[in-house]
Formats: sequence, structure tokens, C-alpha cells
Amino acid sequence: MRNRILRAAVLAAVSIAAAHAAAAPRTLSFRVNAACTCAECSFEANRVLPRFDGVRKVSLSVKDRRLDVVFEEGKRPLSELALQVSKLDMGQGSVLLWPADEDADRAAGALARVPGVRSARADAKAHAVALTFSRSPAVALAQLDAAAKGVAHASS
Amino acid sequence: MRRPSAAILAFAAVALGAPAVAHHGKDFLLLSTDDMPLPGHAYALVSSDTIIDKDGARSTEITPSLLFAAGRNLAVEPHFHVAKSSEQSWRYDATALGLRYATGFLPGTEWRTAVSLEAEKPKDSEENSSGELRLIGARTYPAALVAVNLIAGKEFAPHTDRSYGIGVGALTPLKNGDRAGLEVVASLPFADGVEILPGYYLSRGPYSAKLGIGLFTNRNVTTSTLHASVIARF
Repeated sequence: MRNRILRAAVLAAVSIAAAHAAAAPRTLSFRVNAACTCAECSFEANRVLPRFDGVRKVSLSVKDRRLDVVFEEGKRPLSELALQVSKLDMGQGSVLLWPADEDADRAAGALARVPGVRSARADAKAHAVALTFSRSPAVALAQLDAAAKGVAHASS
Repeated sequence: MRRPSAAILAFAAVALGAPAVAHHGKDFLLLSTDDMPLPGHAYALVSSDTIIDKDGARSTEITPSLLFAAGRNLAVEPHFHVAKSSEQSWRYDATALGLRYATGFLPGTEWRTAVSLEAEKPKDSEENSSGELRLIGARTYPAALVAVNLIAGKEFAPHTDRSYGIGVGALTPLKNGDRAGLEVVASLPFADGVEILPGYYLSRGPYSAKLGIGLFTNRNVTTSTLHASVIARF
């Protein structure tokens, strides 16, 4: 009986921790094609994206052509955020850079199989996989995490 | 001596005793940035620069221009000026060509740099052609676009002095998506003239408009200035 209670408590703690981890804000990096040197580019991103549910902070590196978004996934999934970024003036043709430190090619293969991922291309130079998304089905952070984790386990 | 046209550097106008006049770039009224036209697009610009003396005398210059990219880092802006003053009616004033080259980032920083060159040939053959060189710095912050211009100019004639100036400006976004800004252009030394120009800047799709009402002062005069510009991208 005591063991059952202990196991239930451990499972509950793990579930709460997992749920918390899933909801914890994550910094997502988008690579943009635009030079972003005009006033409108940066101002538009800072005006539009903070209104998107879950976006906590937006910062742009014009030099790196990188838009960093601190995102806490909740009501709206990651793939909708990516589509919102692609609607910005600066965001046309943008990609989400999903970190892949070890084997970007294998990670790209795994991420490409996630339903809703439209394209996944390895970018060895950036140690990342460049992702774009379809309109549906929606893709959540946890799905990409799981796909990437599978690659890491297979490598180790 | 005629009032220097808008294509001559702002500081040169200041040095000659007239208010600083406008740059016809996309974001600011007086200042330049490194921003390049979108490839495959051209921009039609019409700028208007007006000086109003204390006694109400007014002179206006209108500058239609075309801005387009000639490569990834080079922008070309041919333009001309028509002018009107209290003494003279509208007249064709000068033809000019501006080139702007984006030179990249200052090492280790987010500051972008560019160089612009502009040459102007007045219609009146008794007047000298002139040139302007600008060293441009620009940086984007979350709530501001900041530009710094170091300006040098010279008339293409013997025994004419070079003149120097500096310009600093910032644009900040408003809640409705428009922008407010402040631009300051000064001759060196400052006693030769300073123009302070608060402005309102807006974009609607391929169109944008800018309006600034400012003040110019030097050791001799203080005047009001009015700068406006409409830009269409096509």
C-alpha cells in the first residue's frame, strides 16, 4: 500500500515537472531573409508579436538576421507562431532554427517526419535544423522535442 | 548667391546661412541611413523643403526623385529641384545624382555603416556644381531607429572652402504603427547653424509620408522650417 502511494506521488511529481517544463518559456530563433535596416521591420515585429498569445519577449539582431522570441506555449502552438512570423514584412521566407548540436542531418530527418512540418533542412553551420510549417496540423514544441530526443538517444 | 538646393548637403546650406535642407531617404527627413531599396522595386519620392523667415518671407524647394537598387549594397537616386522664393517664381533649379553604398557592420557591434556621395549641377551656369560626402551610421533598437551622419561638402571650384556638419536622429514607434522622430543637423562649428526637426512619419503599404516642422538658428538668423516627403514603392 505504501509503495503504491509512493509510486503515485512520484508519478504526480514527474507529471507536474513535465507539464511545467513544457510550459516554461523557451527562446526560439527565427532566421529572416530581409536585411531589416528600415524602421518598419523591427518596429512591426515588436508591435505585432507581443500580441500573440504566449510571446514574452522579442529581440532582433540585424547583423545575424535573427529574430529571437521568448515563447511560452499555451493556447496557441509553436507552428502558429512560426506562421505569424512569416506574415511580417521581415518574416517572408523565415525559418525556425531548431538546435541540433550533434547530427543536424539525422535531426532534420526526424523532424521532417513530424506531422505539420513542411520542410526540415539541416544547417550544419548554424548547428540547427531550419524548419517551416504547414497550416495544419498544428505542431507543438513537445512534438519537436520528442523527435529531437529520439535522435539524441539513437546517437548515444 | 542663391539658396543652396536640397541636393546640397544640409550642413552646407547651414554654413551658407540658410536652413538645413532635406535628404530624400526613406526613413528620415534630413538624415540618411544604410537602408537599401528592395531588389526589383523602385521608389518615387517627392520632397518639399520650406524656410519661413521671421518677416514671413518664404522659399520652397520641391525635389522629385527616383530611388532604386543597383546591386545588393548600392542605391542610386537621380533627382532634380524646382524652387520658388519671395523674389522669384517657380524655376528649374538643379539636377543631381546621389549614390549610397552599404558598407556593413562595425566589427563586434550592431551598428551599420554606409557612405553616400551626391553631386549637383545647378541650372544657372554662373553657379558652381557641388558635392557631398556622408559617412552614415545606423542602429536598430527595439524602440528606436538611430542614425548618425558625418557630412562634408564642397563646391567644385577653386578657392572654395569645404564645410562640415553632423546629424543625429531617432525614430520611435507609436502605438498606432506610425512613428515620431527628432532630427538634429548642425554645422561645424555649431555657431554656423543648427536645425532641430521634430517629425511624424507614417507608412501605409507601399506608401509612406513624413512631415517635420522645425527651427533653424545660427549666429545671424532664426527661421522656421517645414519639410515633407511622400514616397511610393512600386
